[in-house]
Formats: sequence, C-alpha cells, structure tokens
Amino acid sequence: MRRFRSICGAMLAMLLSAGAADAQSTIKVGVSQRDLGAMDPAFGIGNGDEFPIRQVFNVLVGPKDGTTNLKLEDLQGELAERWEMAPDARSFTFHLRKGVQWHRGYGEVTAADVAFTIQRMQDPKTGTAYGSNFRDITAVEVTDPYTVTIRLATPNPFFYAFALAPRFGGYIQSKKAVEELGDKFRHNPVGTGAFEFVSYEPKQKVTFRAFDKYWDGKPKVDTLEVLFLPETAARTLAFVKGDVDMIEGATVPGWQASVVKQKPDTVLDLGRPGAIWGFHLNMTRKPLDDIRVRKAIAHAIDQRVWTAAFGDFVSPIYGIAPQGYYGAMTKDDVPKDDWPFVYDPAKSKALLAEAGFPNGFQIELFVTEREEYKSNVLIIQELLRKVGIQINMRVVEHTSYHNDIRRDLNSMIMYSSGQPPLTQAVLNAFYKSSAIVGKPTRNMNFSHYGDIAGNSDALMEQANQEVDDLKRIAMLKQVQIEILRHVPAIPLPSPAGSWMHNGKTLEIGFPVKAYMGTFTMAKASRL
Amino acid sequence: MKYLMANKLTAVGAALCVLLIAVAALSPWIAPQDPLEQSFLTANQGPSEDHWLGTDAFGRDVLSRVLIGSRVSLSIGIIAPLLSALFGVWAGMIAGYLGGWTDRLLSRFSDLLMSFPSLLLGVMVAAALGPSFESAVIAIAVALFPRFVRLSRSATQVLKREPFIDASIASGRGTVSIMLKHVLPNIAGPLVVALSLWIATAIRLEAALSFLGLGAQPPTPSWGNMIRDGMTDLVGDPWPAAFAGAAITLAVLAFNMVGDALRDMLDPEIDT
Repeated sequence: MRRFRSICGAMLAMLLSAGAADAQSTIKVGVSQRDLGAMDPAFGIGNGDEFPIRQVFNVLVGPKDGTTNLKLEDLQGELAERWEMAPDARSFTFHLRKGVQWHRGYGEVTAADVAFTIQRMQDPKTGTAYGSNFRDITAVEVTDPYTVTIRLATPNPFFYAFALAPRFGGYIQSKKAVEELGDKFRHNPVGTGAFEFVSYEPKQKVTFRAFDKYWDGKPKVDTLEVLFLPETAARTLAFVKGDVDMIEGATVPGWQASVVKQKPDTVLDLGRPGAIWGFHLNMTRKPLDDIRVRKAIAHAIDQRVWTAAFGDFVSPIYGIAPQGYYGAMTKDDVPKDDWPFVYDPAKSKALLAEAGFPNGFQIELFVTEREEYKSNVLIIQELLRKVGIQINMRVVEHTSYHNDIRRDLNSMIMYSSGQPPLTQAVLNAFYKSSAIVGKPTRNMNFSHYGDIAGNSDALMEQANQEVDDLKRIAMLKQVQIEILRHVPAIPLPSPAGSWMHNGKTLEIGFPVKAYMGTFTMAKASRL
Repeated sequence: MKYLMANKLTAVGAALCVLLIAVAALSPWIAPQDPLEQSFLTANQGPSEDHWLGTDAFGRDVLSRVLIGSRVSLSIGIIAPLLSALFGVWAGMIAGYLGGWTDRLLSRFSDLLMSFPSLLLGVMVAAALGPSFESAVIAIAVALFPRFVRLSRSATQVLKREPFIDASIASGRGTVSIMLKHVLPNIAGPLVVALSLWIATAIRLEAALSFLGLGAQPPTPSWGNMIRDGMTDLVGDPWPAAFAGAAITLAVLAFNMVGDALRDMLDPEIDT
C-alpha cells in the first residue's frame, strides 16, 4: 500500500511538473502611464516607455543588472565586450560582441549600426529630445565591423553616462530596421534585447515574447505584457488581487505601507539614486525677486515632513543633486553659516517682516494633477501657511502644465524629473543660463538663475571639463553651494524609483535598485 | 404648511435641509480640528476617539473636512440654481409671453443647451473657465438654465390665454409690469418645486465637477474632491471617500424629499 501511494505520488508529481513545463509562462507588469508614447529610443519619455524600451534594446556598456551605478569600474558590457577611454577623455573606443542578432532576422549588430544610431540622435531632423547629449561628438570612426571610436570636441569623462546609458536615448538601433520601418519604428521596434515586440493595443497593453537568439541566453519566461493602468486605485487593486505581477508605484503619502499591509508578499523595488524633486521660485515675479522672501520660504520647509509622509521611499537631500549622484553634497558638506535650508519658522517670519510682509502674503500658482506634483505642493502649501504665506493653487491637466511652465507662466514651479545620476546633468538642466525657460535653448531653468541673482555658468563648464576626479567633485560641490545661497529653488527629498512585485509569483533574478524602469526582465522567472 | 407637517417624511427632509445648512454655516466653529492641518504620523486611519471619521492620506481629520466641505457643496448647490433661475425664468417668461421670433430664438438656444447632458455641459463650461469655486457656480447655472427656460415658458404660455391677462393689457399695463404682477406669481409654484429638486441635482453636479478636479481647488475640501483624493487608496483607507459620499447622499436625499413634498402640495393634479 505504501508503495502504491508513493507511485501515485510520483505520477502526480510528474503530471504536475509536465503541466507546468507546458504552460506558457507570462509576466504582467502594470505601468502608470495612460498609453505608450513610443518604443523608439529616440522618443521614449517616462517610465511607461522606458520599461518596454529597456526590454527590447541594449546599450553598448551599461550599469550592472538592476542598478543605476555609472562608476567606470562597475560597468558591464552589453553590446560592447570591452571599451577604452583615452587619457584626455576626448575619445572612447568600443569593441563589439560578435554574433549579436537583431530581432526578426535583421541580421548581426555591427559598428555601422552604432555609427548610424549616433548620427540619427545628432540629426536635428530626427527631432529627438536627447539630441543635446550627443552634441559634443565630432566624429564616429568605424575601424572594422566590430570596432568603433567616438571623438568629442571637449574632454568629457562622463560622456558615456550622458549619452550612452540606458534611458537617455543611448540604446543602439538597427540601421536597416529604422530605414525600412520609418515612422512605424515608434510602435514596432527592432532591437537586440531579451524580449522582442509582438503587438501593441493602444491604451491597453504591449506584448513581447522571449527572443530565442538573445546574446545573453534566452529568457526563462515566454511572454511579457506591459499593461497601461493610469488610475492608482485600479493599478493597486490589480496588484493586490494578483492580476499583475509587478506595478509601478504611486506617489501618495502612506500608499506603499498600505499596499504592503494588504498584500504582505509584496517586494518593494526602490530604485536609487532617486529622481529629482524641486520647487523652483520664479525670480522674475514679485515678491520672489527678494532674496529675503526666498530665504523665508526655504526656512519654512521642513524636510522631515517628507520622511514622515513617504517613509523609506524618499531620502533627504543636502544640495542640488540627490544623494548617490556623482558630485552630490553630503550632510558634512552643508555650510554651517546662515544656510537657508534649515527649518526655522521663527527666522522665516522675521525675514518676511523684514521684507515688508509682517502678515505674510498670497501667491497664485498652478500645478498638474499628477500625484507626485500635487502631493508635494499640498505639503509645501501647508508648511508655508504656518508662516503666513498663502498659496492659491489651481490644479491643471498634465500636458498643459508642462507647456505653460515652459512658457514662463508660473510663479512657483514643482518639477519632478529623472536625470543621469550626475550633478553636472542636474546643474545643466536647471541652473545654466542657457536653460532658462523662454530662451530658444531652454531646458528647465524655471527660476531664471544665471540671468537673475547670480551666474555659475563658468564654474559649471570648468567642472564639466575637469579631468581630475577629486578636483571635479570639489568644484561640483562648490557650484551647488554658490547657487543655493541665492535660493532659486527648494530642493526636495529625492524619491526612489518606485516599483513593487509579487514575491510569490515573480523572481526578477537580481535586486532591483535601478531607477526609472531601467531594469530588464531578461533573468526573470515565474514562481 | 399643514400638509408639509402632516407628512412625516417631508418633516424629516425639511429638518435635514435646515440641519445641513446650519452645519455648513457654523462649520468653522463646530469642526473639531483644522481641516487643513496635516499630520503624517496619524495618516490613513479609521475612525477613532481622536478622529471620529478617521484621517486621510495627509493625516487630515475627515470629520472636519466633511463639515467644512459642506460649505462648498451646499453653497454651490444653492447659489447655482438660484442664479440659473434668475436668468432662466426671465428668459422663459419673455419667450412664452412675447412668442414669435423672440420665442423661437430663446427656445432654440435652450434646446441647443438641452441637447447636452447637464454634466457634460457643466464640465465644458468649467473647463473653459478654469477650475475654481466661481466657475463651478457658473457651470452648474448654465447647465440648469435651459430647464428653467422651458418650465417658465410653458407655464407662461398657458397663463397667457387667461382672460385676466387680456384684461390687464386692456387696462394699459406695460409688458414688464404684467410679467411681474401677474405672470411670475402664478407660475411660482412649479418653479419653487423645480428649484428645490434642482438644488439636489446641483449638489450632485458639484460633486461630479469636484471629482473631476473642476470645482473648489485644494486644499479647500469639498465632498467631491474628498472622494477624488480618497480614490487613490480606496481599499487601504476607504474612510474619506465613504463619509464624503454619505454626506452627498444625505444632502441629495433631503432636498429631494422636500422637493417631492412641495410638488405634491402645489401641484394637485399629480396624484401620488
């Protein structure tokens, strides 16, 4: 009888395992974007585009799986087996892996594809938002099908981090496919990644299947689906019920803790270094043109409130760039004398009185309905109310918000963005005079720093070109202190990339610490 | 009045309306806490001794927010239909009394507005004006306008055939004077009924506009925007949305009960 039982048990086990092997394994990931923008790396914006792009494409050399660590010694080769930077930091040579195949029979990846990608990204006719990352390139030399050298106009030891890292348009594209598919390439991409594109249903989902010729070995799951679930309530419910294996988080105070409480198997995938949250003060507007008023605002902001609201999801910030960014200020770098970013409501009120506002003042601003913007402004609004500054807020639609702040229409601008994890990148985007909104070269300088209060362009440029690491870091910290003394913006605690997955159904293969959806499912398996 | 009191349901409805309006008027004094005060240490909590209706994601007291929120919801709910009536009733009387091309013009215009569902019309107007308290009032007033036009026009048309109107004309009274002295008092009954019912509609519309982000702007609480904000974590912390929803239901029910009772009283032809 015992033997019979064991035979039955064995047969049952065989049946079950056979069933499991036959079943198509699918991983479902819910993103917060309403719909796909583009899967063409030249046009992808936001996590909902970046995550699919990361599955389909590869970079030459990128950070280790699941990280955003761009330190030279920690990089891992993707399409390039090895690479060298010239000692003067003005040229980079990449040696390509042999035999890497494009999806759907578009042939082998060669140096010509790399040259094509860079030319395409540089060409103004392409119309990519990432063109400026490639501006410094003077020549791309193809030595042989597997060797390519990129030459720069000025020394830039971080060129690879600006231009060639995942997320900032640095993915290598197929010359043949881009030319053949034209505009269709946006929603019908051909890459080299672990998953190849199968289908796209607008506002519903994108489906991918495992690429069996993937250079790093065929993925363990057969199908990957990316679902567009913009409503936080719906996305949360889909995750808690187990309909999706992974979701992009929400930026609402207490939300993560609430999900973990409802679903204890949840694994939080907090990517760091985090994104940038900043509250920019338009210094062309009264009374924000007065340094005393700006200092009063800074002294009214208590960073600890964010920690109380968001917990581990945010980390404190000490300068302009979040912790973990190259050149970021640490707690010890914060000047001791008269630093504006110290919570001191009494001083704030005194400064307001000095500036002629003993009873505070009212100011109008508008903000997008998006959670990460609105939640922050609601917290700031309440903190400023305590010192007598009343913010009259108008909530507007996200796209028109982005248009209007770039037309210099707002007085105080909440901005949430991802940048390459380098202090230089943050400075260039927000504090260079050429980046001031309203100028043709505008980027995201909403405060008008550079034209008003102070100008740090020369120091920034000097830091960009400095080849010595220690000197460069010291200069970057010096620029941050110089800028912040004028209080053109209030840097807010930095949010981690917020994803979470079901620990019972999904194993990603490595801890996810990369930000902005730049991690692959190449090593993922269903449990 | 006797009829009103004889009906228990009506009495309850009327009492509720009075209570709601009193609460809205006195809310700054009776709210137990500052409805804007954030406290993340006690965020997302259910009802407790300190917070009778719990707290929201920002740790704000839900009871205080529901009480203060009633000011926005009820004031828009009452002001908007009154504003709408002010214009709509006149337009309807003019159309009904004068007839001819004036009538055709005004009627076609109100038909045009009528062809949009009132919520859609409200959303269009509020979106065009930009989100605020005032634009919510205007949006709802516009949405209800054609209903007042129709009602007062048809009542006026019926009334116009009465001999005493002819008598007034014969005695040399001016048009405006006839409308004020004879037409308005005689069509007031159905208008009052409609007004009380449409207050309930306006409260619902305000909640819908606020839910869509087109009503009162944060941090000012209104019942609609409380539901909207509560949606994000509906499963984890359902309290803000649930209590705001309950408040809307209560208010709509109360005004509808009064409206129904007034109709029964003023419109004897309808047999209930």
